[in-house]
Amino acid sequence: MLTLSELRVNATLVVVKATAGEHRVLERVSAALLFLLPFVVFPIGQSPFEIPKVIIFELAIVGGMVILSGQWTILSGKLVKTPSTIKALYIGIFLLGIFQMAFYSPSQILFGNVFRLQGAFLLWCLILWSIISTDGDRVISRGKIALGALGGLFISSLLVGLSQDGRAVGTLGEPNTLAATALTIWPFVWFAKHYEKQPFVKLMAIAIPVILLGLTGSRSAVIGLGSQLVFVGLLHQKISLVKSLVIGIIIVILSYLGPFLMPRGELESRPLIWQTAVTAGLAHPIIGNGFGRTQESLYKASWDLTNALRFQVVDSSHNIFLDWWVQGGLVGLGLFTYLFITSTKGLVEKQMTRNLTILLGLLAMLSFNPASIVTLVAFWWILGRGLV
Amino acid sequence: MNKRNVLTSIFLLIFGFAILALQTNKAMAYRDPSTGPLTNPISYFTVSGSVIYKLTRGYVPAANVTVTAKSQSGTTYTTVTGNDGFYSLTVDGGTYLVRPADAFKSIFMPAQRIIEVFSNLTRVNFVGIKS
Repeated sequence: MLTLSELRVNATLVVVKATAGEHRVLERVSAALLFLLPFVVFPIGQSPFEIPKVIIFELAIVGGMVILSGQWTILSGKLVKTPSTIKALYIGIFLLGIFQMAFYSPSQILFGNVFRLQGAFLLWCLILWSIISTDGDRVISRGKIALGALGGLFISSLLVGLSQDGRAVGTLGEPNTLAATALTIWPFVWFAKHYEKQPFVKLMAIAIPVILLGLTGSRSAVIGLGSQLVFVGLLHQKISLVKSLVIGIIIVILSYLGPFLMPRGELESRPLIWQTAVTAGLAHPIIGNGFGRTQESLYKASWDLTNALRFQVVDSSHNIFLDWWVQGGLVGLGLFTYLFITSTKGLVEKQMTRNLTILLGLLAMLSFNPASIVTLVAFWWILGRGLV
Repeated sequence: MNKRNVLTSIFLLIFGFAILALQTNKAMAYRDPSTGPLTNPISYFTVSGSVIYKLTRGYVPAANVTVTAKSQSGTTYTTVTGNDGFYSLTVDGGTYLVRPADAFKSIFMPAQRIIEVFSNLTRVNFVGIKS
């Protein structure tokens, strides 16, 4: 009878031998979800920009899992390569969602609110996405589709109408999400070997995000792009990867002071929302208020604090760590933070400079804004590269 | 494809698509274009002032006067003056129609004020004549 280690070796060998074609398919699907999902718009539900993207993403993951479960080789190979600690963290997040259904409405935990559909089911799909998604040299790293996506973002920002305050939203529906998507995509072009000796393309790779920053008026994207450019610049100066990354992260952390130091009335509502989120999390500090229940939790906390958020519909803490605090409590925040740190360490060990550049931009955007499905897909893809 | 994989596929097919169908149904059943979540943090400002009554021999503070600020989008903020006639409203930025009203149906001057709120505003005052 084969031992477990022999079974693992056999599974890995089967992956290497038998699934080259399947990996190519996975790369194409991964590329489609990374670069084409931002352009999906359809008039269903409360938000034509957000809802159809969520549904298509979940359809891709569920359908992909059905296919992959029949193609055991890829799935088993990826699961074999995933460290036990990471598997335990993933299972912990999954079980937290199940556990919360015993205390809150299962429907709400599973599906989230009707504006973003960011409940436990989407989270599970994102976890599966981080495992089964892939990088690759044929489509993703080649940079062509990324360059096309950048151009598409720019064109969409001109064609689609502006937000109420005159900011471009493109096919993402929100100015900050449009800017975040640009920050996610430009490194794919910048670091593509295909464009290494094409300075005009590299210039476009940076110029388009800069233009989109102007059109969207996103201040958090200025911080994100700034930290990315500093990181890339330091690497170019032969500063070590770790030092460059630390400096980039310090820039993002220092930017947290911005909302508190700006003149009252400029950005005062971010500290207000953050304060409300901290209070909301304290209501259920261990297991949180439940995935997908941020809106209700913030509303209740705003009444406890009798602050101005009572009069607005706020369904996000405008910070991804605070969102996990509100929804998952100490358990959820701990699991997520550990995953994030472990993935970052993995990216550093694997010297994935492009992915670290993307991570810096996402970290800045997710520190000040609601997470849209597009930024979450990119974020969990990056996590997967460092973890799996 | 062995029996276990087939069963796993069927289970994932039914479970996954059932949840997806329920979620899509929930999303499509709710459509209210007048509401939406806050996607960009907005700034709040205070609008304050005083309301006084003009009497034959001078002025007195107007207590318990309801002051309403209504935005172009229809959002309404309301407060009541204190015993000293002062009021303070916390509103988000924009253009507002501010109007006082009391239980005596007094005439106020001006009857309403249009203000543009992009910073804290003070001295949004009214003078009332009791009827």
